Amino acid sequence: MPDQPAATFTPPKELKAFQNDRQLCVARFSPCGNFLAAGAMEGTVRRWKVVEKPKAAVDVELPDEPKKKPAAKKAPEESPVDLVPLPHLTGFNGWVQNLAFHPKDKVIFAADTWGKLAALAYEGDGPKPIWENATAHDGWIRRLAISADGQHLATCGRDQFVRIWTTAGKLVAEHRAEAEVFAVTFAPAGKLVAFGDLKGRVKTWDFGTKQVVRDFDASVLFSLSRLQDVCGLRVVTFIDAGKSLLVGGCEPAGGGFLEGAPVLVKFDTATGKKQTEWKFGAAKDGFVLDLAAHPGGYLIVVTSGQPGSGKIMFLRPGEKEPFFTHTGVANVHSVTLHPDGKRFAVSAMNKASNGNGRPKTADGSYPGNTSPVHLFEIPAA
Amino acid sequence: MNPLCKPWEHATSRRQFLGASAGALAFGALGGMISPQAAEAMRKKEKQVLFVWLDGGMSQLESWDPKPNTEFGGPFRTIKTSVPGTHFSELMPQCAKQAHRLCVVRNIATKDNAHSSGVARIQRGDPKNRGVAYPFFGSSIAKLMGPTASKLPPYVWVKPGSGGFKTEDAGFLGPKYGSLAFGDGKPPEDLLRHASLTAEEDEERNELRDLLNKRYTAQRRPTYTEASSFVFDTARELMKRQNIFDTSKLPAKELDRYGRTEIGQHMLVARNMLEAGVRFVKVGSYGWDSHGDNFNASASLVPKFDRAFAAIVEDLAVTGLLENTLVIAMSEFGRTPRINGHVGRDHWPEAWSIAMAGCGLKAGAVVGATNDKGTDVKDKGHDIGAVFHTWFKALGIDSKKVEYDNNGQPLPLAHDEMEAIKEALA
Repeated sequence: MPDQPAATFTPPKELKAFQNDRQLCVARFSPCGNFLAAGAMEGTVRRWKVVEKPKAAVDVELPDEPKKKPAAKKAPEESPVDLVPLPHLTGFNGWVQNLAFHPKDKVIFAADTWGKLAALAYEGDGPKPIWENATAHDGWIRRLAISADGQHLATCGRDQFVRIWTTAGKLVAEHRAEAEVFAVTFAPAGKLVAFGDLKGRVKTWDFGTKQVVRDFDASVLFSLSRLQDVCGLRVVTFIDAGKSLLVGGCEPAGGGFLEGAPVLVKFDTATGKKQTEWKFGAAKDGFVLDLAAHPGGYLIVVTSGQPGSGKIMFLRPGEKEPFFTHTGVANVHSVTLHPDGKRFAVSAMNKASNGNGRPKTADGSYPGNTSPVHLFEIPAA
Repeated sequence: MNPLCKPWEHATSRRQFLGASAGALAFGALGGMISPQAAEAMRKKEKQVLFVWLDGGMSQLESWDPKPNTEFGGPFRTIKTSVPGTHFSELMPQCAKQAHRLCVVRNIATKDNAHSSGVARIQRGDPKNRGVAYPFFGSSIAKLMGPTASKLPPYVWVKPGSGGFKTEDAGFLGPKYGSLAFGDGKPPEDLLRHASLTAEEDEERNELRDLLNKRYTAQRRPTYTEASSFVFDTARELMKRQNIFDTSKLPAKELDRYGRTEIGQHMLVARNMLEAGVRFVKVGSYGWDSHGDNFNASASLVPKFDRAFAAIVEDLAVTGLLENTLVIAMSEFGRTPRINGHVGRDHWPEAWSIAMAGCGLKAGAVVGATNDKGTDVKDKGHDIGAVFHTWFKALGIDSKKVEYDNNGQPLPLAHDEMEAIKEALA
């Protein structure tokens, strides 16, 4: 998709919100584009088959509309794409907070908050694990990444370790950081990874030589609030073919409510020098929780803050402000770009997700919150 | 915003400290009495209290009552404790080792889900409304049991931020029974004799103070000045024992055991105070109101509490003090099972936990339970009134018989329609 000048930019259109009965941590499209998977706050991986509806089928589903009448297009449009649920992938504990698809093989990797890392086939009705390691980390695996060549996985966790694995599950290298590690990513090529810890200390590390290459100061993403070490760091990713490193999260104003503005910092990978720092909004807006690089040269950045606060932003790394911001979705926790570059999906939250005490429901039940998956289409320029 | 969130406060000077005391006392009134014989009998037992207040609301699901792998259970694992069959959150490995000394009540069900009213309501025991402000538990014990033979202040509060004399805790008992608060765990600045003064010069200053006090007394009701003198004299007793506040000379291993954190250092000061003979020591910790990012907040906060609390329970047990010390750790409520969009938990008085240990309590007990998802107490829960009866009973005070005398108005010590939690009592 060509880069779009702001003046002629047509905003993305939400095709449909697919409801779920549980909260999700992350959603990802498969490289083939035919599957969407999501890690849930219930120890499962949820799966959907991405089904393109033939146009005729859309018309069939609107039988009351006169076929010749142009006004039919103004009626609520059926999504041209459907997500057809498949059986969950089970065997995980706590939350499945991280997923990564192999770039070529039909394999998905998942990591849970109890320390388990597993590889599973993602097609079929009842896939079984290809391999699994129940003690890949001691507890919460906070981030999982896969190298562009599909050879290695990187994980990091509450146990302060960054670990590199082959995609066959063999431990290759590990590095113990100074504190809990919240994010890790691979450089586009070679054996360089970047990771960021609790206090906003970001480092590049060569897992071939097992040496730290460079330090990056993202301490803006940390504060000590009373007794609480407040970690704002959530995302580390390379852009510009590895020349730049982006670190995202929240500039915390305090613990408890955890107010703070979403922040994204761009560093020069070679020198460690800070190049740009974006702050997206007010204290209620919270965290940059995820981002996706569009082949058109811009980033899709998502945020989640106080309940109800969420943004989807399109940002060119060379510009000061996002050229598009959408606030119609509450608490956006992840974004995934379809491989065709024409659609993206976000996992978010139902409205009115907070409240003290027991909500008064008519039947006296206590419903949990849920994470709809919102599917968007990016119009052609 | 959290209505109780306060700006960072500063160390308290001697002038502020005494000024706050005198000002508050001038508007107060002394309240009830119990019989001198009963009070004396209580003092002989020299029972003490450690009250750890986690302001804002600790999550029961990330501490005492985990529900792993359930809809609202969160990301954490559980761990075994020293009591077979009892599990705590993985964030509490040290408390897990002390479980055989603890008494955890998992079916607390209270009524107030707001900080602004709940903090006081819980600490006053939420009795029936009789048109008076009931005392906080610390003030109640200061009144009912008084100072120990050490003559140290009966109710001391080690807290972050500012110090001073907190008379509002005392309710109808009157300001004398307020808490003597040590901000940031430090003594008031320059209450002790300055190095440039000789002992004789300091004595002359104190004589001058006494003279001024007498003039002040002559113009006011004796109860006010009696309270003022009581506060100053007990505070001076404490000031003579500077080692209580000085944790810097302790072995590194001991500092590490409590944790080199605010709550760790404050708990060490509390231990020193209990060992020195302070009747009631409250340790306050702020910042537990985790509406946002609850799980990372808990991952940071809970282990710091865990380390400090387990260390003091162990030390009190080793020194034998636990036998006569009632230990309590609690908040104004728990946190919602439901996880909000900011990955936080909100206020939840419906089903939460209190941890206790020490005198009069069953050790290694887990009392009550919540349902599988942690959304309700099983069977009948216990309100704070029942908890107050339990504490009084554990301290040897019969809260069904002993009453306050509020200038002729008899008032029960705790909610008169509630009973002590028998399963928690030894």
